[in-house]
Amino acid sequence: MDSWIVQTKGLKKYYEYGGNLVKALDGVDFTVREQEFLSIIGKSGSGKSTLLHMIGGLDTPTAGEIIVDGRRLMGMTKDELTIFRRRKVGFIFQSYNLVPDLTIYENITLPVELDGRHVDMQFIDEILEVLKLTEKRNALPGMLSGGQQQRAAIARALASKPAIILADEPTGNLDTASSHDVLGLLKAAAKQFQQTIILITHDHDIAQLADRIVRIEDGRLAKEQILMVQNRSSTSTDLSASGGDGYAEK
Amino acid sequence: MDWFLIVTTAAALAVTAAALWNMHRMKKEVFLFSDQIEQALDYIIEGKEFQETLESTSDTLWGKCSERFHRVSHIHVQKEAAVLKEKQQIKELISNISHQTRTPVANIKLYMEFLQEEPLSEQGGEFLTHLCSQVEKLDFLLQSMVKMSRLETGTIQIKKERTNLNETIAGALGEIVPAAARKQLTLSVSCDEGLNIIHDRKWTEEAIFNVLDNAVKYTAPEGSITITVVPQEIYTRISIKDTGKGIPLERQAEIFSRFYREPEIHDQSGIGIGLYLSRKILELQDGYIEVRSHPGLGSEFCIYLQGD
Repeated sequence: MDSWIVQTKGLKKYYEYGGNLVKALDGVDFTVREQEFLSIIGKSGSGKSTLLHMIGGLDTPTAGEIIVDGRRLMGMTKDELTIFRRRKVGFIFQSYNLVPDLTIYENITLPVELDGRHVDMQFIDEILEVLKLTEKRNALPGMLSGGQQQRAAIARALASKPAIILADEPTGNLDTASSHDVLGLLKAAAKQFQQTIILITHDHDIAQLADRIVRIEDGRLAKEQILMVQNRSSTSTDLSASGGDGYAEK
Repeated sequence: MDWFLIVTTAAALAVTAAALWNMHRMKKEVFLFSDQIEQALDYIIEGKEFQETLESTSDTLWGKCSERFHRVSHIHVQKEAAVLKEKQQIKELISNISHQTRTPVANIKLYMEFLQEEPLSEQGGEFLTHLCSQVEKLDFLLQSMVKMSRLETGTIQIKKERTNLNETIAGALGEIVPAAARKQLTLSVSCDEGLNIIHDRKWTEEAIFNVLDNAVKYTAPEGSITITVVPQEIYTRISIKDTGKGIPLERQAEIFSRFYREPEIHDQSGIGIGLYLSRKILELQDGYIEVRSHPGLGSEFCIYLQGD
């Protein structure tokens, strides 16, 4: 039995927009296994980003439950959520958000230092090596290409040894070749450091790097969930099919 | 009276100073303590054995925990060793199976060859032909299963060496030429001849061959297969493009799963393991594979290898 690291139950997010009720998420039940690389694909407005934000504690659901690495996110206070994000989750966004006046190395260690924790220099060196940034450690972000900056952002996400990496369209600003370089390295790094990745994308090529692909449409998981090569021997998935059916009418 | 005041003030000051000093010392010890715990945990997370410090026999906060950290770390390392031993046993089992089945299968094939030279009734000859093709299938299946379990249990040693990529591709092409010739397919390669990248020659050749094998299988006669190699900043991309029937979007990810067969071609030989193996081989080398395709417009498989 594989252990899971993220689980959502009946997750819903409704909000009002221009007088209309928007159902960004409409009953999502799914499970992410430990050390799995999961892609969530869907068109813009399908609710995929909302889902990722919920898992990362950046947004609160209207109803439903999220459990990440044994912690229920619903009952947490704002301060608890902040610390949760800092320690358990590594974020990678479309924009790199590197501090322009700090070197790559300083940028990477910054979150760990801000958290008042010990910087494991040997570990940082390993991350730089895996992401092919060793030579760029003392460079400033402005001197790097987009792909290199995004790799630095990945290194920063990995530095605090989070339980999961959440990537929201991380290659949105990159050309095809750089996108493949960046995601290939993300996959290699996650494998080496035994991390779980949830990747959001609208791009089928990129989604294929994952072990499993989940499609989201109109705030629900689409029935068709493509199973890819499993790292472990399990042949079926414990991902329950779109359980949203019962919730919509309520 | 004045003296009394001075003495009490001095005493109070001394007490305060002592208390502050004490607090400072405690704070320092606590900080040191949490630092040391973090370092020890980092060790354990990385699977290295944490060595007890000299302090384990001293009466500090850290001293009280250091010994137990050492124990936890030791247990962790021991368990890892047990897992490794189990893997070793699986490896032996697999190699036994592959070794012990090889001889009987080879013998069956041999006797069937003898039988083909014997006079047989028409029906007898037909049965024999079926028997031969089934044995071929069994042989192929056994070999693939052994390969697959070796890759899955990580008992295959990937030997990464800086070698010529062109030669690796040529090796895979050499194997596919007869099948491609039978279907009159045009094969073309564009690759910088001097391109040397770090990869495992034998297994990469197998990964490329499996993709080519599929390309040949799904491309109609007189079609073409084009291989293009493009070095990128980090990865080198090997693109294998065919003019075959293409794959619908919803099946594109599934084709890499184990024992997947295209629904329309169950009459063709094969067991649906080639692309699965290719993907596995590339993952072991920190590379990956992906497909782009439209039904009717052919497929393009891209293999990405980390060159340096």
